[in-house]
Amino acid sequence: MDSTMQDVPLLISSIVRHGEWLYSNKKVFTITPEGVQEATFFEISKRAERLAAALKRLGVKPGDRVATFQWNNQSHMESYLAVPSMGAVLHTLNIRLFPEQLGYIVNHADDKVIIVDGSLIPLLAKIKDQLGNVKHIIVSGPGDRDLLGDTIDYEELLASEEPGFVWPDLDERSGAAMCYTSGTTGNPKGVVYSHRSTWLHSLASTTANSLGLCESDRILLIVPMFHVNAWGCAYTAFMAGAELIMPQMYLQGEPLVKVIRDLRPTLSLGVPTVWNEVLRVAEEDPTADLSSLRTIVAGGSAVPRTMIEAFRERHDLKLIQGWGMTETSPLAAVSIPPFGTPVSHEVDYQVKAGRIVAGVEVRAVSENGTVLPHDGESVGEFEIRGPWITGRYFGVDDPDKFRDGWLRTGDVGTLDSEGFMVISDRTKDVIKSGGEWISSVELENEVMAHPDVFEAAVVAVPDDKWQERPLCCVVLRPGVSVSAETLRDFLMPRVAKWWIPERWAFIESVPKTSVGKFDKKVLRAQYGNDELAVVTLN
Amino acid sequence: MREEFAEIAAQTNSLAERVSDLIYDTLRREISGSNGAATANDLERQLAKVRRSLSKAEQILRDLATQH
Repeated sequence: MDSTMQDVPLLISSIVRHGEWLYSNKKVFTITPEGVQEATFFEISKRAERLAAALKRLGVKPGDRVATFQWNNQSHMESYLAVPSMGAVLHTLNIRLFPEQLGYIVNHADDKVIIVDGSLIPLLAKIKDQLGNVKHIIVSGPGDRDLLGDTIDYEELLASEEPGFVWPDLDERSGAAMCYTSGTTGNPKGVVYSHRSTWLHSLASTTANSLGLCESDRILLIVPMFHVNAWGCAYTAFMAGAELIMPQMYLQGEPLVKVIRDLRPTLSLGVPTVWNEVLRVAEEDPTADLSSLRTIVAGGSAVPRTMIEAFRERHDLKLIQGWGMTETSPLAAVSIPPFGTPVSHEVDYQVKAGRIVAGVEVRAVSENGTVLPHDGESVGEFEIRGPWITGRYFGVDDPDKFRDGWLRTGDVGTLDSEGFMVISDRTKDVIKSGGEWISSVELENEVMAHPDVFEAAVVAVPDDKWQERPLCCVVLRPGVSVSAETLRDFLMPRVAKWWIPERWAFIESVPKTSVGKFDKKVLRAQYGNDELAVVTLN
Repeated sequence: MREEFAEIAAQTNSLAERVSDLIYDTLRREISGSNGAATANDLERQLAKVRRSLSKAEQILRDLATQH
C-alpha cells in the first residue's frame, strides 16, 4: 500500500527560503580587521540570489562545481546558500592543504569557478598553473589580485545583478556540496553530499538529543566552513533561526575569548586544541566571560577528561563531544549524558565519543567480520550507515572502505547498551604489543591529565621483543620541567603496567593535520629518521 | 642596452618570485600555526608591497628593452 504523503523534495533552497522568511532579522556577524560586520538572514539571502544570477551568467550549469577558498565569513555563507540552491555543487577547499594536494583536489573535482578571500590569494596563486579547467576566479575582499591574473571582484559581480533569482526545482538526490577527506594516507577522497542528506543532517542537528540548535541560539562557528560543511551548522542555523558568528582568521585563544565576551554566543564548535587555548586564555584574562555559552562542542579528535572537568569546574560550562567524519556529513554521535544521569556522573558520559544520533546506525565489527555485542567491552571497528553517510567516493573505487552497505570508519572501540561509542583508536594507530592492543588515545588522555602537560601524542614504534611499543611524545606547559620518570610514575596507578611507555620524547608541539588532528604519521617518521630525542626508561 | 635591460628585468622577475615565496611561507606559517590561527600580518603586507614594486620595475625594464 502506498502512503498518501506528498513527495516534496528536500532541497537546500527550502532551507534558504525558510530562514529568509521566518528569521529575516536574525544576523550573521563576521569579525573583520575594522570591527564586527553584521548582515541579516534576509540581506544574505538576497545577496545569495544575486550571486546565483551572476554565476549563471558566468556559465555555471547544474552540477558544475563552484569551489570556495575562504575563511568563515559572510560571503562564504552566501556561497553556501547560492551554489547548491541554483543546482551547482559547492566544493569547499581546505586552505591549510599543501599545494600539491590542493591542485589535485581542484582538478579531481573539476572545479569551474573558485571564490577566494583576498587575504588567501598568495596560497591559491601557488597552484595557479594547475588551474587549467577553472574558468573564473572571484575575489572577495582586499588582496594581492595580480598574483592570480584575471579575476572578478565579488562585490562588483553582485552589484551587477538583481535579487529575485528563482531557485530551480531539483532532484533531492543530486549533489549539493562536496568535501575531500584530509588524506592522511594517499590522495584525498571526495564525498558528495546530496540536498536530501544535507537537509536531514540539518534537521538532526536541531533535535534536543543532538545539538538542539534553535532560534535562541547564537553559534560561534570556529570549525572551518571547509571542514565537513562546518559540521553542518551553517545550514542548520538558517533552518533553526540560530545566529552565526564568523571569526574569519581570528582563531587564536585571545580573540576568541574576546568575541565570546562581547558577542555572547550560546554555543560554539571547534577542535579540542582550540578549546585548550580558550581555557588557557580564559584563566589568564580577568575580563574573560564565558557565561553566555550553554554548550561547547568538540570534535575531530578525542577530548581529555581533564579538559571537560576544567570547563565544568572553572566556568560551569558543559563540553560535549561530537563524533563523525567527512564521510558522515559529519554528525553521527553526540556525548549528551542520558536523562537522569546524576550530575556527579555526567562527565563519565561526556568523555565518550558520543551516543548515536537518530537516523544513523552504528555497529562494532571484529577483525574477522563478526558483529560484536553492545556490551561496552567488545572492541572492534565501527561501521555505520544512514541517509547522511556516504556510500562511495567521488570518482575513486575504494571497496575496502565499505562492507555490505556499511561504511568502515577506521575507528576502533566499543558500543554499550545505551548506544554510547567509546573510541580507543584509529585502526592505523592501535599499538599491537605482545598480541594485545594498547589504546594510544587512552594513554594520551592519561598523560594529559598531568597538570604540567599541555599535549601528548602516543604512537606505535617497532620493538624487537613485543612487536610494537608505545612512544609518548609530550609537550609541556611553558616554563615547567618534568622528567620522563615523573610522568611514568604518574601513569603507574592509572593504566595497566604493560601499557606504560618505556620511550618518551619531549617536543615543542604535536604536528597537526590540516583540520587540527594529531598527525601521528609525522611523529612515526621523525622517530624512524632519528629526529626525536628519545629518553628510554628501564 | 636592450640585452642589459632584458637581463635586469629577468633578475627583477626572479627577485619578485622569491618575495612571492616569502609571502606564501609567511601566510602558510600563520594559518598552520597554533590552532591554525592567522592574523593580518604587517610583514605579509610589506612583502606584498615589495613584490608589486618589483613587478612594476620589471615591466618598465621590459618596455625599455623593447624601446632601446
